[in-house]
Amino acid sequence: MANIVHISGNSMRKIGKMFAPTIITDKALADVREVFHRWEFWVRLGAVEVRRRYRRTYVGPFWVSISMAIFIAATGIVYSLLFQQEIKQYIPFLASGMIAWTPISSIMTESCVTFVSAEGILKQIPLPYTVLIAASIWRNLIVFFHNFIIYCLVVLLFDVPVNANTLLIVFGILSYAINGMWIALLIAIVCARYRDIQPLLVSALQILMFVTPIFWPASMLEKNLLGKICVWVNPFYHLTQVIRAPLLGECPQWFVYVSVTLLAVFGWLFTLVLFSKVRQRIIYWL
Amino acid sequence: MASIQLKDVTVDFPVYDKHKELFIPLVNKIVPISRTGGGIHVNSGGKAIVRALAGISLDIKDGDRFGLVGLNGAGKTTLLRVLAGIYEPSLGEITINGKVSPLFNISLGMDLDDTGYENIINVGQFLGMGVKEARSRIPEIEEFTELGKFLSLPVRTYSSGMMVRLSFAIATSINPEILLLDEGLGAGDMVFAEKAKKRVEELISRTSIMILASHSDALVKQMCNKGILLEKGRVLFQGDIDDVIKYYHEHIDSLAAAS
Repeated sequence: MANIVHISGNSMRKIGKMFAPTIITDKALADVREVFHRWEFWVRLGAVEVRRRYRRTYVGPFWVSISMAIFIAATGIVYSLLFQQEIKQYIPFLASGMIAWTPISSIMTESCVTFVSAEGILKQIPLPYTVLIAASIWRNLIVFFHNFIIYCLVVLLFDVPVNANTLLIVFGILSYAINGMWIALLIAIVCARYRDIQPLLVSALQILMFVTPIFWPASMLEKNLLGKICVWVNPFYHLTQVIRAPLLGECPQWFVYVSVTLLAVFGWLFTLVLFSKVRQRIIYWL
Repeated sequence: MASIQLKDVTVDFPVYDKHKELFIPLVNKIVPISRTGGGIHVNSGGKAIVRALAGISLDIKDGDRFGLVGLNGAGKTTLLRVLAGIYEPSLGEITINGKVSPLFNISLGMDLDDTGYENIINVGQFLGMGVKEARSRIPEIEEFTELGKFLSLPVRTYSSGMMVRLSFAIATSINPEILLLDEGLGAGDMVFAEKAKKRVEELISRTSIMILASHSDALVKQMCNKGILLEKGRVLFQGDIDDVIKYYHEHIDSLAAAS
């Protein structure tokens, strides 16, 4: 029953050589494993945070859905005229894009303060960092599920096919969880140390939203080299496509799944190496 | 058997500030900058650091009840946080054998808009309990707090004394092997204080090792058998609690006489 903890601080002097070849430490992996052990904790914490944010409002997290619906209706009409597209086709396209993009963007913005705003908790109890990250991902997934009401409306109002491809959304949600975790952990670590990253990231995300094919179909830029880069090399295109295509009743292209898987593997490797290096320093940065 | 060993544990706090160059001239002055707090140094990387703990070695065994005493900034809270696994030492080694339960902030996780019952689970989870375990404590907490129907109401409707009762009851329902306390546990009104005292004694009797940091001589004398006097991140004196308190007062008097 007795658990023995042994902590040695001797390796900490080596920090600073960020790009020297390193390994992933057991401590970092043990931290990640706690996500599976303490799922009750982050499930509750994530849900409590959603409840707290919308306490005493009548529509709760649906406020996100309502503002998104208004945005889609207004932008949808203008852009369909601008791009000379059928409203019947453009609104479902835009809605699926917004539903897919919003969680990615809010995970990235909110992760900037995951550790910084949890300082009060992290300095009172020993809590694995990744458990906090899991709570933030779960919180965003809860809001994402609320946005499904927009999808239902769009399906009812417009001619969106609901078929076997729709079920592929499961893989999209899986990608949100797995890719979301490393992205959130990476951003939370970097933002804890360098406080300038947050405002930088917020403005970068605004630009990314327009550069990534969310408002405009990827096929529009296929003839142009720069356009191709915006689409095929842009990881956010692939990250959104695994959700968006199933919502439209389409199967995402095979290379979308390949990119998302590669992103997960290399993203996790990179983040784990960084996490191994700086894990014990994070608390001193807060 | 629970035990704790610290070998030359040093904790450095980096100074992250755009004005950090202002700290460099303060380094290594012969005249101490301040009577309290750790020394300001420059580490091998040329960065300014504050050394909160400097080469602490301790050997804590099963049955020990340690009182941590010292002036503000001596390193009491930092040492407790190192023992809790919150801060990992910059240098040195620490080996902890047993489950550590820090009770620094007993209302951590309390949500004012949740009911008393919900908060038993909220707070219980932050204290390291599972949902099931926290639920199993409900009857006992109901009985101890005497809050009755109030437990079904949002905590926002409680008086501050009632809130203290609830968080105190949850915190003292844990089963730690190694218990860490910073300034004891708050109690409440006089009738409750007597009950609370008994409950704290029961909690401590369940634990193998207790470490309490406090400025109250009476509290440490009552709850501890051994003591550690910290000054500027170093162990100045260690031994039986009465000897430590005596040494501490003589030391303060001599400091006052010198200045």
